[in-house]
Amino acid sequence: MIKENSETPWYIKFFVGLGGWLGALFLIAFTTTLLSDYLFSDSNSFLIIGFLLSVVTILLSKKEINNNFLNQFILALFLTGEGLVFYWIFSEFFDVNFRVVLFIILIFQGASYYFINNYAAKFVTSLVAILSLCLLIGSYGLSFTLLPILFAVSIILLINKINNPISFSITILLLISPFIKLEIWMDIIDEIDGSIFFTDPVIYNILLSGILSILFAILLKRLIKISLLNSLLIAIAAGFINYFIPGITIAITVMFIGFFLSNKFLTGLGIISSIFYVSCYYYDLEVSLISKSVILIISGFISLLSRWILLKKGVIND
Amino acid sequence: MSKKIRNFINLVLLNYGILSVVIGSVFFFAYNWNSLNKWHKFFIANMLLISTFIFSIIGNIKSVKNRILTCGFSVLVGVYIALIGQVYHSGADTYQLFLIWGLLILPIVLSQNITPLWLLEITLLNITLILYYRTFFGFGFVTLNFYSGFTILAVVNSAIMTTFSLKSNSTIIPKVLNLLNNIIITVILLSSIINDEYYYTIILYILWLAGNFYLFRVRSVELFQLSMCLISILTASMIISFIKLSDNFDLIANSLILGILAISISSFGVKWLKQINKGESND
Repeated sequence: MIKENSETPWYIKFFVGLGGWLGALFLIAFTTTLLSDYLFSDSNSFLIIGFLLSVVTILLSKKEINNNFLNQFILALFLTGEGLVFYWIFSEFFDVNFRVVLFIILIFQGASYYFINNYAAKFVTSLVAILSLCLLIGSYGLSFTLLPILFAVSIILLINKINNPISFSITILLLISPFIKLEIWMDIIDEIDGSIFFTDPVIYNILLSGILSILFAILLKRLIKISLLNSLLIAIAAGFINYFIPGITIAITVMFIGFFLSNKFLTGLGIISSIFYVSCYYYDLEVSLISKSVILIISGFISLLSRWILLKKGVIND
Repeated sequence: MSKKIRNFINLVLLNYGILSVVIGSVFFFAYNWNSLNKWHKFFIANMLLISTFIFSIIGNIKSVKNRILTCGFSVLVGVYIALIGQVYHSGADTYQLFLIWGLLILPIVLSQNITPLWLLEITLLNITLILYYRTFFGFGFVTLNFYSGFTILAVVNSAIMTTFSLKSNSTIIPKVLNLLNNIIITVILLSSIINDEYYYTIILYILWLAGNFYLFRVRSVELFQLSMCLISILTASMIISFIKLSDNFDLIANSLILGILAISISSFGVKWLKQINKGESND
């Protein structure tokens, strides 16, 4: 199967993934229609075919195949197998308990990640697994712990240059998380199994911004080796800004890590996300124009003041 | 700490600080805008414009700080023209705002020659052309429709992109322009095929691909640009095949054909890109 190493540019990886995913989409349509219309009417057949496809493609992925068509075909078949197994899990357990669905998906994806030997496939399996884990933890009312934990794991993996699909999928999930409000996901599950969740937005935001500040300080200390006091000062400023403009600290951190790793994709993602979060803040109708104005001016001055302090101390040069 | 990281932190703090203060100030005036009379409004706008200009020319004009201030000044020129239009109810067409704005900052763009300013100028040119087309549906006696309007836009962008690719060291501007053209040309191709009209877009698409091949494969190697072309080919082929196959409604056969087609195109594309990449590495 195609061994996409970390040297392969991101746009080639994206093209490989796009072709594989599009192929898988139509192959899923082909298999499900064929199975339900002509071969079997029992939903268990989806599990059997899906599981077989996953196992066969995992075995094939271990071999060195130098045919690009076959490689793409195997990737598409793997994703088709995954799709069929998901279909079975949802059809069998959705009405019973949503947590069971999430747990089975988590185990299945974890196993697939471990065995499959392909970057695009590993990226998809880790993304689905982490998403299931988030929803599972969230369903026990612990959603406020998720982002900081994920953020910490992502930072540890990335700054140690463990350039693997898990760190990338966590980073992608982190960047979209303020946009896809976690509370909304929780509400969806809430309607399904009737649990009560911790979703106080003020406490959630304070906790999140506080923990993000500490993590950001650790990152700065490790990344640019400035004193603990300086890194704490910058991190508190970042946490303060994040409280008002959710997501901005995550975006800036991703930008820093991308730059530190000389990874243009992560740097670009961080820059685009920070512009996106500021734009979201601009269009937030719950905040008055005067509040937006004051917050932006204060955070701007904090940023310029931090630069001035660092210039005076000789940490950075103009 | 390396010099590279020092410069990066300096840039992030400076950019974020200046942008936040400028945008925050704009929000502050917007909040109080209706309660200000026209003299106050012009006083504020003039002060902002003049102070940004003065600070942008003090010290080393090529320094990062001065360049960011020059970009800020170029944006404020547009705000000032909009203010004149609002206060005096000039009745000018909307495209004129962007046209005058683009023309006024052109000397700064040419003299400073920095990427963000060029991107601003190109954006203004694109907006001017789109708004002109939406106002007059043509140029002079020539009437334009959706296809010819966007074809002109694509040709103009291609000309600028080619100039930058051949004459400039900037890699960002050709990438941004080609990405924009990629979207425009793919959309008009798909639109003409879906609506069964103006099939000249196929020739335009082939010419665009040939141009890209010459610039980014023959003349020099740019894997990013070639990948974007392949993504366009994959998207266009899949959508066109999906539409054409939908006439004969056989879900099983259609899904299989489309699945195999997606895998074939992407596998041939990846093989080609890897060959080029390997060739470049060996050179």
